[in-house]
Amino acid sequence: MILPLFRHELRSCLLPTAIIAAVVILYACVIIGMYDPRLGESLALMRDAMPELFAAFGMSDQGTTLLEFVVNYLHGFLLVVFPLVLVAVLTSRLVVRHVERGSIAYLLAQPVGRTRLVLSQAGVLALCLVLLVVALTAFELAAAQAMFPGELVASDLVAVNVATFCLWLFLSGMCWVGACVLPNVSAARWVGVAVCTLFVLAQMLSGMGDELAWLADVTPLSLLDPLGVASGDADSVAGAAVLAATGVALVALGAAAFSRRDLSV
Amino acid sequence: MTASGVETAICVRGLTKDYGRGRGVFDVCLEVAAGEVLGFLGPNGAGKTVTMRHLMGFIKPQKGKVEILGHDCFRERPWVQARLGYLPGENACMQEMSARSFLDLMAGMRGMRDRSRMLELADAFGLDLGARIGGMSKGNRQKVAIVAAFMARPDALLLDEPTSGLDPLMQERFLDLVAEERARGATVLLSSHIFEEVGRACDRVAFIRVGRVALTCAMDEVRSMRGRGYVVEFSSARERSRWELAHGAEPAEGEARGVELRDVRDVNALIRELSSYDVASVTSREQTLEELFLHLYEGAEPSRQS
Repeated sequence: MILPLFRHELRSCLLPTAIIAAVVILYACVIIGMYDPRLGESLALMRDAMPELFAAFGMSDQGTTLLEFVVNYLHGFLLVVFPLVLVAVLTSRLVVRHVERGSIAYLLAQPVGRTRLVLSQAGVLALCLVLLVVALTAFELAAAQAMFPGELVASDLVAVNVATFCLWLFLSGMCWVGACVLPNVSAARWVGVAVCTLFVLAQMLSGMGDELAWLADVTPLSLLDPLGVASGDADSVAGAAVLAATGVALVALGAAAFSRRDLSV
Repeated sequence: MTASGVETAICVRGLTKDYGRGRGVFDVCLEVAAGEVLGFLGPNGAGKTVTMRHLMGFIKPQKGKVEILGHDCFRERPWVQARLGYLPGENACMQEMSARSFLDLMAGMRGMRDRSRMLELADAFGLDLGARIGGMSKGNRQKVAIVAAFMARPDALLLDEPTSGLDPLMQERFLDLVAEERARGATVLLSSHIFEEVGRACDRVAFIRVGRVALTCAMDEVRSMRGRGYVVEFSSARERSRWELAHGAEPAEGEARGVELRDVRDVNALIRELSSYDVASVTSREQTLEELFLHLYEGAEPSRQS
């Protein structure tokens, strides 16, 4: 880590992180507030009327507990898409923008290795995601405690959010490797995001019927099973671990490629 | 070691990077002795910046060797950068930052605790450290880049068009700074188009053209080779045609009365000759570096490294 650069970049990344955090926390609190067996019945009616649409957004099963309800309505889509937007913004800010504007020339003119430089920048992204998941967990627990005391087991919610964080690491790795490896600035900014979006779309389509169920086999997002992780299911834990490890490996691959590539800046 | 026995600080040998369609650098050789200032000249797209990027370790050579203070510029980047100051041709300081925070960031990344040289340079160039870089004029942004390049008192400096955007007073201050650094023992590679700048700052000069070093010679030799150009305004177009016919040229059509004479060496002969014509005015100017370079290149002796 390069402390002066890390501090500077963290300051510049806090605002987009705070905006995304505010949005997901708002959604989380609203969804927790919606946990009402009577409202659940009307949602169940809607779900029965439009099963494919609900399944596409990962909301096929309302669940019987508050945790199941939250995971069903929040983690299947919203907590994938909003963090992906944040990852795209931060990756662009931390890598692509420096190359595009040429300010990378000043960073590379300092006596720090390129690998160390890129890993320091990746550290900023990781810390922003940690702040996001910590803030989200804290507000979810507070909202659940305020509205439905005793309904949500804290350790289960933490396990669910840690599993979701593993998915965010995977999305980060995908975007990061593209940003570090691709010489064209537009490609560096968008290829990783585009591939992740395809994975999300495949995940959505795979829930829309048996004919498209095979798509679940081609998207790594299907490795995520937050409720399985919360219940201690070994396969689910392994799936989350694979997502996290792949994300870390992709960041390392990006750093290695960045340290070897030509930079015409 | 150079041929004269002085230790070589910057060494480029057989550097080749082929980008296709004739672009890139081919078998470039440069040696700059410790404490020497070498001017690096050539037209746009000749390969100056590509060579600089290799020296900065931004680009890996296809062939050849690029070393600073005996260390490979690509493989040993952190070691080299710790002893190197760089002023890029494209000024791309982080625009959202103030000059002070940008320079503090650069100093922090270098592990510099002592900011006295930074403040001294900012003061010498009249730089407002509190101003946001994005709101600065091109000249002021260039001052930020100059302070960033010089503040660590590096052993070697790579300066790409360093006075671009500076007013004449600041150009003077910059040249004084380069002289000060040379006196301290720093090695400088300076690319520029301005003859006076190169003439004052450099000990030797290397000309690069279409990716190849065409000529390397001492600055004194360049000065002695430099000719002057004259623009002669005749009293009438008929008089101008008479001059052109006498010099074996086809008289140009139209009412223009002026002719431009390039690379005049014998001024007395020119004055004697003009005395038989009706001349309205004669103005003179010195050859530009590029004109001199083309002249040298066309009738050049082989490149000499000294």
